[in-house]
Amino acid sequence: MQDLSVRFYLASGVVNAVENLSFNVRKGVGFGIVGESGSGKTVTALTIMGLLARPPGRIDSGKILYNGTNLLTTSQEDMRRLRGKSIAMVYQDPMTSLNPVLRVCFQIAEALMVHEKISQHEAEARAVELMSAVGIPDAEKRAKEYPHQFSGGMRQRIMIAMALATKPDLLIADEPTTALDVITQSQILALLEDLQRKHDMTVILVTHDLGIVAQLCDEALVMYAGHGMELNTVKDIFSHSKHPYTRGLLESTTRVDKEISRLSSIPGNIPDMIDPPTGCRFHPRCPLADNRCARQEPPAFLQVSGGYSKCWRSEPT
Amino acid sequence: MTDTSSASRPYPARAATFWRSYSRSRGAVFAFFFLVALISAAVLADYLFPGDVEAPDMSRIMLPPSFSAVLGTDHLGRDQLTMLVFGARTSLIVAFSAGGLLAVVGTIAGLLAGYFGGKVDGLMMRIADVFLTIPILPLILVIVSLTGPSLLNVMFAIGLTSWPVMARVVRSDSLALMKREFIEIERVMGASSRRIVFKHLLPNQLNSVLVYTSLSIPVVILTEASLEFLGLTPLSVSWGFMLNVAMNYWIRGTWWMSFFPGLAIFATALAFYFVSEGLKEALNPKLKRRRESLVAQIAERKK
Amino acid sequence: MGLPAYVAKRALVAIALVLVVGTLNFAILHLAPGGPETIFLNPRITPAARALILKSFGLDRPIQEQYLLYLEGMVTGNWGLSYFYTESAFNVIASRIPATLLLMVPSLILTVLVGILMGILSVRRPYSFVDRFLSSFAFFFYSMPVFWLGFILLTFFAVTLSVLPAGGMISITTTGFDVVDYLRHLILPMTALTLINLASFSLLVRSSMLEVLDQNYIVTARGKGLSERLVFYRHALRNGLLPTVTMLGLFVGSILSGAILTETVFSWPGLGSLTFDSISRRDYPVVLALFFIFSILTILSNLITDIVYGILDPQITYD
Repeated sequence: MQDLSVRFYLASGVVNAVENLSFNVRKGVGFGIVGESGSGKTVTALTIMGLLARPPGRIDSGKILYNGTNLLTTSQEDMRRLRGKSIAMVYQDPMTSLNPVLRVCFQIAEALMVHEKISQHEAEARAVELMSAVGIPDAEKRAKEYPHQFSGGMRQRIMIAMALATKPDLLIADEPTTALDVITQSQILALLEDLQRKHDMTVILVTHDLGIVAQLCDEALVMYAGHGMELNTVKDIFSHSKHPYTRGLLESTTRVDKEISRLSSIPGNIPDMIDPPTGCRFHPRCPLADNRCARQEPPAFLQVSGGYSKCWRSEPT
Repeated sequence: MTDTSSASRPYPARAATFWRSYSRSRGAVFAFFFLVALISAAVLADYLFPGDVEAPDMSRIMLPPSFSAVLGTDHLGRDQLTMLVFGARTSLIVAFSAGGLLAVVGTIAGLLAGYFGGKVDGLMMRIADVFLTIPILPLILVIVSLTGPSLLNVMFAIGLTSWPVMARVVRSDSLALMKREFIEIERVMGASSRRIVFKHLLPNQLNSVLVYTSLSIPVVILTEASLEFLGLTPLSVSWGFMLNVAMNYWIRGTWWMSFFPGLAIFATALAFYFVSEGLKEALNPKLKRRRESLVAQIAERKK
Repeated sequence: MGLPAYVAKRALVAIALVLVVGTLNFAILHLAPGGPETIFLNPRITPAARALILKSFGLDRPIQEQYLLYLEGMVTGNWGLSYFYTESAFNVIASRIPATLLLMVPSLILTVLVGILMGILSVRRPYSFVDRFLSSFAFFFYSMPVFWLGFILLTFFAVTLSVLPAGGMISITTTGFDVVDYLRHLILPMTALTLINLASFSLLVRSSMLEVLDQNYIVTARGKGLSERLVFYRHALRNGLLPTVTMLGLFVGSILSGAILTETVFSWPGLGSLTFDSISRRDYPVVLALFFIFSILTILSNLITDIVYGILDPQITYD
């Protein structure tokens, strides 16, 4: 992704959802996009898929290169062919993301029928296999059921099965565990990890939970207010992050291995996206901010590992 | 940033902003002037058209529209234009009074349901459901024909059968408001029910109530016209009744006897509808969600 | 809940509603000035009939007994004696039901079919020219009084052009039931009735579809790379039309009311014009009974649509 800018043109103003975002994901890597709600991460994911609601939303600049082709300039037809086949997405809310009037096996089989042109019968058989692969017990019997007959965790698994049906090269998972309880969360994560290894899939994981990123991802991008603040390997981010925002996030998460006397949090609120702060978007809440931070937006300073950090403090001296 | 909240500015400025958003809908502007003209004509009818409107003039019966009788004359030789203007009185009176009645009853019911929730709410909704499933026109017909066709009866009949829709809206708004934090704060501080309802629930919904009332008025007008058409009215000078009369004469080709009264009904109903659209724009642009919640309410009934 | 339980629940609600209607009738009967005596005991009826009514409605008994007798009467078809026809109100009404059905059913079918079509066309490209045109069209007819439209059609087609018959259901000269003749008579009243109902129905379809198109599973469907056509017809439509079924039930009530007015304008010999006539003639027993039958028809159609909905919505059929 290079220099992506997405804005929403609303009656009340223009929302700068994503601004000048750039990152690179290599094949087979687990890549996390981290940020609070409203940071622009879901918008980024949808833009990659080409699912952005185009009337209010507009892609104002940038390129998304997938295997060499710019996704932003590909035709609707071609995008459609990619979607569901090579690039698949698992969505945030399993309760509303499945069609309530269609059988579950059909919904999983649909992508297969469209992209691989096999018969419904065959596709549904594959769907049953997929269902057991994602850990749904009694798959054969339950395949004929409807979404409302499944629990949240099961529905999320169904969605994962749905996304994996065509063995995509790239899987984008948008908060796949937010709506679930902790136990189910860890099960789903284990499942994702397992599947990723098995199929050598590139996974982009969008989340606000650093713990998940630590578990599943090799590299990560931290977003704030539509900007990519820090990009680095997960190890580097966790051990010595260069960006105050990331450090703030790290400090506010609970750790099992360290004793914490008080939970800290980053003071302040997410900025108004129609009228964001000048200069570095984080400066109103940043403990290290100075005048320059308020006036000038920092460029992305490249790091040794190949990542970057968008902070004046990480300027190489 | 300048403070643009409407509550703090002087009246002329508020009126100006109101008008600006109201006039975003062109139909609303036309409708507004149309209604102003109509109401003025109805009020001033006695001066504009002196003489007894109901007096027959057998020398001029059933004349098609012409220079002397712009909208034609009826079977008793009476000028239709005059009759229409006088007829406007009935329609407008019933429209506003029945509309007001259903607004008041509906709002109270909705507030009660929203504030108390639980059993009270359930009961209200059952009652509202009943009114939804029974055909209203036949019910009104029965009530009015049995209690006597007076203007008051008509007004009560229409008002008391149409309140459920309003109640639904007020109820859902109230329920939503009840969940908000500031209500919780008031309760914890020990505010009386009356205070919460009147100082918090109601003012926040006045806008919606106003819009919905104006939205119900077209239906009221049509219902009232239907009643008159079917003969349930004491007044012979009313739009619906003119159509009733026209029914006996149309075969002789007296199209103007049915066309103009009907046009009046249609235009007035349409005007109120546009006004409600304009009010919606001006007062509460978020009202668009309402129709959607109707579908959701229907689904809710199922469970 | 399962389908059988659902149907049972709905049936019970329907029965309860019928009881409510009966009670309402009873209440109005007694609250009217003069009370049931004036309503039921027309001074012109024969003493024998008078005695019969007194007995069957128990007008000299305490009110609780009257209530029960009244309800019993509702069920057994004792709906009072018509002044005008000197027959039981029940018979009078029963004889006119077929005519009303002959008008309403075709109108209903047409309303649904065209309404859904219009709704779909509007929604495929929301806010496009087609959509705005159709919506304005619907909106235009929505506020129109149906009897006015009837008059216009009548005056234009029957008088000016003399193309179509001027009223009634069949011509006086034909014997038996001539379908073509019936159809010729049907066109105008059905057009009037259908146009107005079409307006509101298509708007309802449209808003239901718009709501569905906003849902998350539509995004999921698109995300699978399905063509817009598939997404629309297979995913959106099936969900969008479901509430429409329920709305239809509620709609029948308004079609019935419209039928009252339309039949009157076109002198169609059904329940609607009977209503008009009875009101004019102050034939109160029939008026009351008419309200009752209208309510029953509405409740019944609601029940039917509820059952159909239950069959179609998997969330009710399964679990």
